[in-house]
Amino acid sequence: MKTKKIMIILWALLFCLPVAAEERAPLANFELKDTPNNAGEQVEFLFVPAASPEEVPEFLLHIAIGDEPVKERRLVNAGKEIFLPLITGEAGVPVEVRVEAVMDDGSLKNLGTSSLVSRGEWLNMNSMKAFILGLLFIALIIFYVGRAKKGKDLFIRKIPGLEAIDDALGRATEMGRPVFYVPGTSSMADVATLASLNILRPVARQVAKYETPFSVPVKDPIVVSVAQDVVKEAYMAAGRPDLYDDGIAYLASMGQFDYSGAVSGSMMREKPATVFLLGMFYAESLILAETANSVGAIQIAGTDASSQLPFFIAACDYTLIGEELYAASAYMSREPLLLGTLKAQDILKGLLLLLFVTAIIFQLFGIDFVMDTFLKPEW
Amino acid sequence: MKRQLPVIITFIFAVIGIILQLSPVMQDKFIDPVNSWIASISSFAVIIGLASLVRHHTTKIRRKHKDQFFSFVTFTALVVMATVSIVGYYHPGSIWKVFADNLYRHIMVPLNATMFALLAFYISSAAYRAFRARTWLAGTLLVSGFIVMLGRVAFGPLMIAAEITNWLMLIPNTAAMRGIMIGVGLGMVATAIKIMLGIERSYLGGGE
Repeated sequence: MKTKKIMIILWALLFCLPVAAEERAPLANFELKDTPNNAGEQVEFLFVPAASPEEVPEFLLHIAIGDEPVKERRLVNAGKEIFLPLITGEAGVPVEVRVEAVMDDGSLKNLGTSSLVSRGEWLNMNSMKAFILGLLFIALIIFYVGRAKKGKDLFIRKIPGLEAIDDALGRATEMGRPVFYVPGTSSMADVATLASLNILRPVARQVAKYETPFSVPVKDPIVVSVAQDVVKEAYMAAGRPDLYDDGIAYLASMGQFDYSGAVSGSMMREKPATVFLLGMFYAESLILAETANSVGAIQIAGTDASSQLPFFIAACDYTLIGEELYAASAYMSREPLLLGTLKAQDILKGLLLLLFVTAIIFQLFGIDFVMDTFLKPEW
Repeated sequence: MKRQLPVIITFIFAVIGIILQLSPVMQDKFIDPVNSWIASISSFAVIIGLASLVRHHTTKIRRKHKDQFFSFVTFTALVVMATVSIVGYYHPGSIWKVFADNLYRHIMVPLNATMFALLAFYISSAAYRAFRARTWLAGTLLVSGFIVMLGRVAFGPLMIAAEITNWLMLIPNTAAMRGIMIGVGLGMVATAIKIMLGIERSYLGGGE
């Protein structure tokens, strides 16, 4: 009798188990997570529906962010994961999401609540690769600058555009025509403008030595004052401060096409023998290059704007392509310190090339390790 | 000290820039003041720029330069546009506002558009010079340029040109551009580090 009772209970439990399991099975899994590598201005809500669309056609979210009124949001159950970014605006804001399932009969079933307080990160781990590469670069620079200081000979390949600068300045002197130097049309915030101003100094020095008329039309007011300083110092270094005039570097205009119009007009009237177009350029690049060509000037151009490079290559006599613009200052001055940085740059480029080739070979064999670890961006 | 102070300031602000780039919390707290500083400096720079422009053209007029007429045009445009715009700004319903808008809409904008439109002719003349097949490189440029132009307007049996164009743009062009961009990226970082560490000082006017 006792055995029979136990059997009945066991059978009853066996039948009840799936029902209980079904009761416990969640209709959806959801989680509120802090977005990594931000200042706490956003959190993430990850929602994975577990019930079929027939059983639960929709879910209803009650989202409370800080002191803001609770917002309702309906999610149609398509059986797919849903990622919902929630903007908190700043760190330390409490966020709460309550989820209800809208059943097929229209009734609501509470599935629970997820909450957290938005948190800001002190370190952006996505930037770490770039930071480590930067540190490696600084180490290489220090190493090669040390070598250069010791007098070790550093081989630097010839750059035709820079080799031609002396000839171009000499030509202008012989012809008695001015030299124009356009330091791009961007601001001082652009590294290409800084690179251009670094080249301006040796050019201005040479121009001062040759007593050639010089003109530096500029588009940005801050660049004007820096360019004036650079030219003034260069004239003093050349021993010709008497030739310096504040009007050599001047603001031509602050608008893109006003500027190109003003500079083109000056070129047409003054007929320069040599025109330097070095720095950051946009659509005005070809207008300036073609005007210079039409007055018979030698044009030496250089930019890091990949969209303007074809124009310069087509229209100018010499073009410094991309990195050559940044190398120009070291190349022209031949200062050991600057040559050391140039060498470090080349070594790092070689290392990157090696890394690319290694990654490609590994990828051919189906191994993603090198690509994923070193080359894949994190964002 | 005249040389050292700017280098020290540059180093400090470069380090601050790096920290702001690495730390989201610091960026959130300090990026607004930094941007405000930049905006303030830019506002003062406009005055410097204006002074430079006025000085340049005044000198031309004073020295009776052969092109002094253009300096008069610049001054007239500067004074008229500034006066009308400022008066128009403070009297929005007045005729000055209409005058300022018309000066902008019917003189400034068409002049800019004219300069931009000149590009079409300059592209043709530059392409003519670049495409003269004097060397094998210019010949290659000519052939690839022709295929790309044809590919952009291809239809019917010429669609093969469109496919070749896609290949040219996607494979050799992208490869070359990426190579240039990697070099540019490294060059930018190198220049930034040189300036930050005070190795490159030419932009300050001197190398010593």
